[in-house]
Amino acid sequence: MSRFQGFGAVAWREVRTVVRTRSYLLLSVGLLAVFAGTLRAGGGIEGGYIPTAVDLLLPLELLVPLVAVALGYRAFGGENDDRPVLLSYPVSKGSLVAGVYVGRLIGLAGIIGGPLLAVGAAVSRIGGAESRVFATHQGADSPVLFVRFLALTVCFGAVVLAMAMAASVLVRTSRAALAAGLAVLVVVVAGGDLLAFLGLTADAIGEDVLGTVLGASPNSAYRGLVLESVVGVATDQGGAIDVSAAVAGLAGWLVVSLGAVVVGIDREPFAGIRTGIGELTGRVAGALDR
Amino acid sequence: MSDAPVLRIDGVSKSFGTVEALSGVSASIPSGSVVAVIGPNGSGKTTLVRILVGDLRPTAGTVSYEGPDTERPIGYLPQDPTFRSGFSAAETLAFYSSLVEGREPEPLLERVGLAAAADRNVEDLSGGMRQLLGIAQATIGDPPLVVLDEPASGLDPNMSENVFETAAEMAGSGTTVLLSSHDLALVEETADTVLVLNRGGIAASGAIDALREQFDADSLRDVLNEVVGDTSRVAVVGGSR
Repeated sequence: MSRFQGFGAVAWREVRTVVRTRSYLLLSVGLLAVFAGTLRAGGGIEGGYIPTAVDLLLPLELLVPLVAVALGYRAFGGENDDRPVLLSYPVSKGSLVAGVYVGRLIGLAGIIGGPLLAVGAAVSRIGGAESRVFATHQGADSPVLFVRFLALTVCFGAVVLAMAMAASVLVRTSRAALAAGLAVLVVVVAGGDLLAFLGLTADAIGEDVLGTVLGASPNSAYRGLVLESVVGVATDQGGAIDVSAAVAGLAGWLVVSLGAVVVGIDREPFAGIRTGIGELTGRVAGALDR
Repeated sequence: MSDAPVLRIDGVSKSFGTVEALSGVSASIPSGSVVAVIGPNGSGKTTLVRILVGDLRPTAGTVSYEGPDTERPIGYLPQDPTFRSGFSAAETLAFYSSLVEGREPEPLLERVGLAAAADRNVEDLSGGMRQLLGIAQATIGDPPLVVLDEPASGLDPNMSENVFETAAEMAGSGTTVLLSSHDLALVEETADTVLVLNRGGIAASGAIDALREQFDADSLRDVLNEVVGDTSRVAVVGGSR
């Protein structure tokens, strides 16, 4: 059996699932509406690509994890869970995980990338004179920087998608999967920053290592990389984060999460952890119901 | 039917925490036959089936496939098959066929009587039609062993009969069919060999005639009643946690 047999078919099924799910299309339209509202209020679109990226950065820190969790939390649950049948075909666990992940990542790139490309196109028409040229030197606004911003945003989504999928395989019921997905959302959106803030106020983290510590939090790493490699390039205002720590942090979350999915897809490893998480998320879901 | 086993089960036990669902189950599944696993609710049928197809790992013991080398040795219909919404019956089978060098979906749908519903989305199929789609899926790639967990669940009597006839036809063409079922009349008509599970162990096994003779029973139902004893209560193995 080829190690990657079935990968393409599984990935293509995921892409088609995303395309055929109307709520994902609505999500993309909703993102465009939020972007339009944010840019109208912030006025960044008239300033060019960099001001636009700055205006969208904060909303994206919340919206990208939201989209990633929406795509990932039931990747292996409910009607999407045909693992026992799929594994009776010559499909390895690695191919199955890679296929589902890549297929949903393509969907995520479309849902987030589509509205961002529309924003980029709007900037090229509405933005200042500088926004209509491809800058070849630092200190100038450029669509290249906006493409870099878009790529970093999709990378951030890719990491959170892997985390949501890991949560999806650790629980069994749809209700528990939703609670686990929400837990991922809270951890990604607020957890890292909160821990860093608490560490800073308790003097457990010195200011000299703050940039490195922030790299361990997915959304801090994303924010730092955007400020460093998009905004900082044009404004010379970088230095918010240790770039290598941020890249290592995002890569670490991605590898660990996908590793957890590959091991967890077997259903039996993590049985104890899964029971504990199932009970915990069940209680959270119960509390949410009340 | 051939004496050569397609699957050998050797001392298989399975525990879920403190609950022992299966204990020391051994059997060999002869090729080209219909083998039925019967037993009361909670006797361990589905656990055994899931271990045979590799969906669960046994706590002890081994399951070894001894049939011909092929791309897909075991086809599987789970007790509650799930299908992706938004895809038609034909698209669903085409997806699974693409994972092996399988046939086009049309003959598979024809075989289970679903040809007219080829373009209908799976979420619009009735429970029985979904079950038939699952059976068609289980035969993709012509696996030498097809395992069907409660294939007649949710089907009307005619459909149930159709499913068991299909199983018998598959066995006639050399495929081994292992199925679990509560429909003892159809099992009696179709199966060559029966494994009777009770409280996680094989309480009796053999050809139906031999079992009737062994237990001095008129029907398979009487055999089951003799083996299980009190059938009015659900067997709860291993106590409570």
